[in-house]
Amino acid sequence: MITIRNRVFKERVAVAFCSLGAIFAVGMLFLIIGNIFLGAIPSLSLHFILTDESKNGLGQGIANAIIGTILFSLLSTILATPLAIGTAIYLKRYARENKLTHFIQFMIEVLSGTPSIVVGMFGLLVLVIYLQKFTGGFSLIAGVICLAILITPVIERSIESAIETVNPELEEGSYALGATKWQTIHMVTIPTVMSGVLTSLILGFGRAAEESSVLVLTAGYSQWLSRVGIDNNNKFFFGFQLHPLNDPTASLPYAVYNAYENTNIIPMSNAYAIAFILIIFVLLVNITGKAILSRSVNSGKSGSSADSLFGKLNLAIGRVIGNLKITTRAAPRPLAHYTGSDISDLLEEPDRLSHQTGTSWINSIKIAFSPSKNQASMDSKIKKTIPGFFASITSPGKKPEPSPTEAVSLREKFSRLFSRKKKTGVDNTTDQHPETVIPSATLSSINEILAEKPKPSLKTKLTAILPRLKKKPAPEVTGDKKAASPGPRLPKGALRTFLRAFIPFAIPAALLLLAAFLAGIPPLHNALGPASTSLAGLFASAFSLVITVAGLIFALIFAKKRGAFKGNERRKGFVGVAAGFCIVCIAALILSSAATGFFNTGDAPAPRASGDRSAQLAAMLASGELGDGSTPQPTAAITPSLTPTTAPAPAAQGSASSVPLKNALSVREMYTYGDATRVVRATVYNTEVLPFYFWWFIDYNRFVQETPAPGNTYLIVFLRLENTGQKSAVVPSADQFILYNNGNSYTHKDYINMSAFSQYQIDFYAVNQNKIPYQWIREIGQTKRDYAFITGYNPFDQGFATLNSTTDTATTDTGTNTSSSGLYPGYFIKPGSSNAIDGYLIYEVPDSVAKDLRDTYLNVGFNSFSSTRWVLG
Amino acid sequence: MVHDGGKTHQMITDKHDLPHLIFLCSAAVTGLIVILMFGFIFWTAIPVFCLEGPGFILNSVWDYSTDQYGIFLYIVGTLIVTVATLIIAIPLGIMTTIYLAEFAPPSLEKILRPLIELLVGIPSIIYGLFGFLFLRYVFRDTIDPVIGNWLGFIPIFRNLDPSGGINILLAAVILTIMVLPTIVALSQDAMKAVPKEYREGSLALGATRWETVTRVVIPAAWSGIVTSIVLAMMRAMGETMAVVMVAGNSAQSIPPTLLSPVYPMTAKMLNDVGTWAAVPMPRSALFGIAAVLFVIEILFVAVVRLVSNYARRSVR
Repeated sequence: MITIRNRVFKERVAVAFCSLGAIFAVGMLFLIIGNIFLGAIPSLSLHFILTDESKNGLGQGIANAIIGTILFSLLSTILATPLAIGTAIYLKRYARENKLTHFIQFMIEVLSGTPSIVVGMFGLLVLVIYLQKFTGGFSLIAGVICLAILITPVIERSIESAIETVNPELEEGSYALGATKWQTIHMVTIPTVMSGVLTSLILGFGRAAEESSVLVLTAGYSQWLSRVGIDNNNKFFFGFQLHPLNDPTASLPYAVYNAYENTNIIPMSNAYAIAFILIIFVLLVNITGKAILSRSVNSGKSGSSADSLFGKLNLAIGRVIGNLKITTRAAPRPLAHYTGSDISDLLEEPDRLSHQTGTSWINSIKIAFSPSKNQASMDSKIKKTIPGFFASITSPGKKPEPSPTEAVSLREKFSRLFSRKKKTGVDNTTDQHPETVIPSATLSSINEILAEKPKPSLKTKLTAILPRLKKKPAPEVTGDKKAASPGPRLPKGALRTFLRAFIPFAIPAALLLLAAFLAGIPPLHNALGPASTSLAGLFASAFSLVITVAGLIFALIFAKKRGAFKGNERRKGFVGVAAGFCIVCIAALILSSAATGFFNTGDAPAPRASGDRSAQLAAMLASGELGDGSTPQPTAAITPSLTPTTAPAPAAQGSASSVPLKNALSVREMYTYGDATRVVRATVYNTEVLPFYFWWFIDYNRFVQETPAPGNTYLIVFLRLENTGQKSAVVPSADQFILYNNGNSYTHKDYINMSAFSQYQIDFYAVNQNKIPYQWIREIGQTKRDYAFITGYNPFDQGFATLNSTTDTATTDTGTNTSSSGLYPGYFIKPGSSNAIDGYLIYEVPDSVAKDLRDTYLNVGFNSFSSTRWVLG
Repeated sequence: MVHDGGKTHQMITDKHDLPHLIFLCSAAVTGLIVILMFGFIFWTAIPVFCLEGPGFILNSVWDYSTDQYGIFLYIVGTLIVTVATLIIAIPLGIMTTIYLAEFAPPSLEKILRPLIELLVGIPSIIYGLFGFLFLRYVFRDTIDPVIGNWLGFIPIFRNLDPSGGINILLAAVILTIMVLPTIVALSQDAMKAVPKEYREGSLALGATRWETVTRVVIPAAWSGIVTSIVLAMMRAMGETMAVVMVAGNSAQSIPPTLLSPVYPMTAKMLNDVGTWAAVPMPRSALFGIAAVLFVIEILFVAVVRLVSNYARRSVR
């Protein structure tokens, strides 16, 4: 039997369960943010945020990603906005119920539901591959276009719902006064939904900032900060390349993805720190958007907008803006202070704020309301326009409030007039809002205005402007504690106030700069004992943070004591404080990076050539700053050339003549070397001439373009080695492949730089050769591997010298040699055609050599076996 | 007076003024972008449809070297993850909604709802990283063994790989957190839109608040709730980044248990498209996956529209 007690008990249990759901959701939010914050603490430092990866290595700095994310979000929002606004207005104000409209609506719904990966794939194929000549492949512009496609429906739907909240009476009033549809939309609808539009844009901005899969597929990644400029580049259709639009650009989500992909390179705390910065960035954007939204929604309510979380936030934002704002516009004054001439002046004002043209009809609306409404409509107009937006937020925080009742009534009036949400029912009649009824006293003025021409005559404009001109030099009422009005001021007093506020800040800023300077000169430079880079960075940011905060507090107190915030000139005082803040912060930034100099971290700063990226890369590689903080392996010293743009090395002239050319094999001819159990067939089977090529630099997760010195080009020789014997055979090292042409010899170019690999990577790739990072000469394809990489510079072990000198050491079995001091997979070729080495060598040769290969020979020394050569032409 | 947002006025004035044209153009461009994009995706996918026929969906062998492309396992992966997500997310979401809409004190609701909405704003890659770096270990060390021990007698709850942690369940939990705010926000709006009189009538008849909610409010708001669930489902199906990081990306067979890895369609696309976009047939196959995903998505959009149309009609 169901008793009432049973039922109540059941309800309680159910409610308890339901509240558990809510607790789960909120708990997860805090768990995620808390977990990521805790994980991020070891790596979070100003140094980390303000350094880009080109300096410290992959995942060791995120300034490039932050700049990239801002660029992506900003540009894609800018690109999407016109489309979104146009579509929303069309659908809400122009479109009739027909098939086309339904179709467009359906398409927008489809677009908003499209998985971002689909947009990303589309962008990859069309923008990155097909339109490479325009976008430059993986690039900022490709990412921006895809993001814009993705966020257009977001912005569009948000604007649509904002337009839905516009009070129809407002527009009808406009139509009734003879305005055309475009005038109504332009002058009534858009200003009214301005805050809604702003919210939409901010939400779109946030959506673009958080998107990751699209950027992974279209934007590429770059460890360098974006730079602005134009370069000649024949790869492009127009012959030039625009930076940063055509550059691969980093972004925070991609940086997080990198951290996930390269957990062996990037410390976990760095991954958390990047994620934390991303979270903060996106949440700040979203909260701002929602605060503005709740502002526009709540402003309709009479009390205050502080009755929700976002309302409170938004009040706080308003206060902050109010305090920082430096305006040259008069603050709104209470009604009691206005005289008749002022009102006529003010009537002009909102239009001055929003639009410069076609003001007459909107004036007529204002006059159409009762005189007491002039103020109200004016206020609301200000409120609904962007500049006025700030004015109206700040007004509550402003000192000279009108009496509370007056303020409330004003608020109420305009909010009822303009921000009332559309009623859902049909009983939406005007008699609920008596104040919108036009009083008979003003009907005559309506008639007057309607009789006028729609455009304001010169005379009306002049009469509107003249009082204002007259008013400007009028002195302020000294007794009034109101904020100073913006009239022209004597510079001397202003300057003095400015300096009074500014100088206290200059002192700590100077101290900070001094400390930064001291960190760079001998007595203090490297004074503190050896420490890791991250520790030094942490110290630097903490140190500069403490000094900065202390300096700021001191300066604020001092500035206040000197009266910077008092009197009529307080505005200038605020300017001074703001400027002081800025210079202290700038000094702090400088110090935070310079203070690492106190520590002896053991690594020299990379000499950075400006402008030329390959030179930058070369400098970076040469300095040995590796991504994972490891030092270059000693084997790196074996590499003959470190810089990617080495000029061809004119080597051993005499050796060319010592080898008889007559015996040269031609391309596709096979040469066999080895002994009875190790029969190895070597074939040079193709050549290719390339003006440039790319390789995938694993530490920075991006392509690096290699370009030859002027007048040179790349000659690529393909060759295949195949062991048809029973036992593993020794493979010649890559420096035994020498190219000869007319007495000049060329050694092959190291295709990727071994010093870029950490020991971990070397160990890993030694046993997982198939996973050798994707090395790609785009024009050739993907199946070949760099022969030099496999055989060349002994990346895997230090036993190179001994192996090279002897022909046939411990490899008597058919397996991988694991005998002595390690693995030598690069030096042995196992029997069987599936183990064949199919690779290529890259030579940098003059253009003249590449043009005609008939005199070009590739000489190969097979260790102790007899050498041979191929003629390449 | 008819409040139609000024559409009546349009009849009177010139229909073909310049602003009208501009707005029409921008709307048309938006529509065209969608058509172009999906036309292009289908166009690219045609070769693989010709090659495989229905086998593209029904075969489970995906091998680039032999030019065999069957996405059955990936479809199954997506479906399993989505269904598991919904099984967790629907009860949780509706419970949360009921609490927020009906039982929570207004002051608490005003704090909780924005907080839950903040979950929408957290980038999906953060969810993935959170799952990959943190929740994975929680699952591997605590939750998976517990489920394996207690529910292991049911085949789908066996814990076959105790060292894993990355599995369907983890993906489903991560996706649940992601779609929860979608369900909560939309269903709460739907429940708030139920007229007060319905509730009052039910309460006046002696029903408890719980009975009112379950028997009056939820049936009245069902279309909104269904819409929210379908939208959540779409988000779960289309999610890429988080899923790539926590689903395990392995498609040997149909996953035997909930605690085994899985390879959803989106993850397959993301992992492979960068390498294979330059080769015609694999590219076509990958775009074939996108086309299939897109068709499923269009179906869902159509469902949402049907549901809302039906609800609108039934209200009238």
